[in-house]
Amino acid sequence: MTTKAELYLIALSELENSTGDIISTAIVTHDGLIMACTRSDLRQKEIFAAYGAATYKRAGDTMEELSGENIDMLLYESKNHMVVTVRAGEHALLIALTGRNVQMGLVIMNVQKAAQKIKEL
Amino acid sequence: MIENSFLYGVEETIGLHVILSNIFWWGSLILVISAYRYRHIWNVGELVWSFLFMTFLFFGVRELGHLTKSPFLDSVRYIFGVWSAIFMTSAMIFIYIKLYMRKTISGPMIIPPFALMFLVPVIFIFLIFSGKRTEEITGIMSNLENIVWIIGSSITIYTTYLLGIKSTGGFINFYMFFHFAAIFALLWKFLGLLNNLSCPVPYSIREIMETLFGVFAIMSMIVLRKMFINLSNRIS
Repeated sequence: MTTKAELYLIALSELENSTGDIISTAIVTHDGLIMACTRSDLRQKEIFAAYGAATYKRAGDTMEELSGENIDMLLYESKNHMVVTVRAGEHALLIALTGRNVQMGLVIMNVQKAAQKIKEL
Repeated sequence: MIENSFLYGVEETIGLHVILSNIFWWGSLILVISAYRYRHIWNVGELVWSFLFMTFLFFGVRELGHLTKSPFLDSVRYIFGVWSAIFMTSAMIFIYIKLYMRKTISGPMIIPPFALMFLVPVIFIFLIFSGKRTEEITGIMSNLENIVWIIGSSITIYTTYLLGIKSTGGFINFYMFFHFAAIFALLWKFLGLLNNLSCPVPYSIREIMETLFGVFAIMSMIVLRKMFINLSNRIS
């Protein structure tokens, strides 16, 4: 029998295959715990989840303070990388780490599609 | 003349707080073992898990020691208390190093807690062979435990504060409860040290501190285990 974790992993793999230059993706809880991750390095997984969830929480607080609305998506970039985080249902966040040369619009669209799929799972 | 109300509870007693403390610490140990089953969810490494296990195990043994009135066993009890402080402090430091400093726990980093751990029985054996009376040894070991807990809990207050401000969701509660536990441990042991330095502190006050220390310790483990169970249910 397929577990939800395996279904999540399939959804993440589909997202990575549909969009080029995605380095890794993960589904994490708001607590910063891993639900599924395509990254093989165990140590990095925990850090990925903990920092991803914490950043989203802080950004959510900022958004609420500034606009009075809930955050739907968080996007931040560095010289060589970009991170997109979206809410995937009530308890989960979908985080995608990409390279800098990726098509931003395509990534956002595919990440949102994947988040919707994960929500329905 | 000292009032009777002040004298109440000055002496150490085997009362409700001993039973409660034992329940809290042995209960916490069961919760750690139960949470360990979900270690794949929170992969902070076997070392952190074993340190958390030893923290609760040694403190549980220390609390069991309350049930005896033998001065010799009292000294042995303090050894377990010191070990518990060492491992609690180290566990929180290692979680911080691993998750938020993004460093691997290397071999040399494991040496200090174990070196300190083995130092305590060496001191104890040295005191026995130095010809000191059992009551004197108990006093020295008690002071040693107080000092180690004061240092250890001060460090834990700082590390759990750092962990709490960097984490999110249920982990904030986990670190917050550990933070409160460390604060009560510090107060409890500080009052214990004052008492040993000829400034009587009613035992009833210290036993309240000790009980609250246990309450917050078990609450932190309940929160941690609950997070793991919730997530495990969601992904299975």
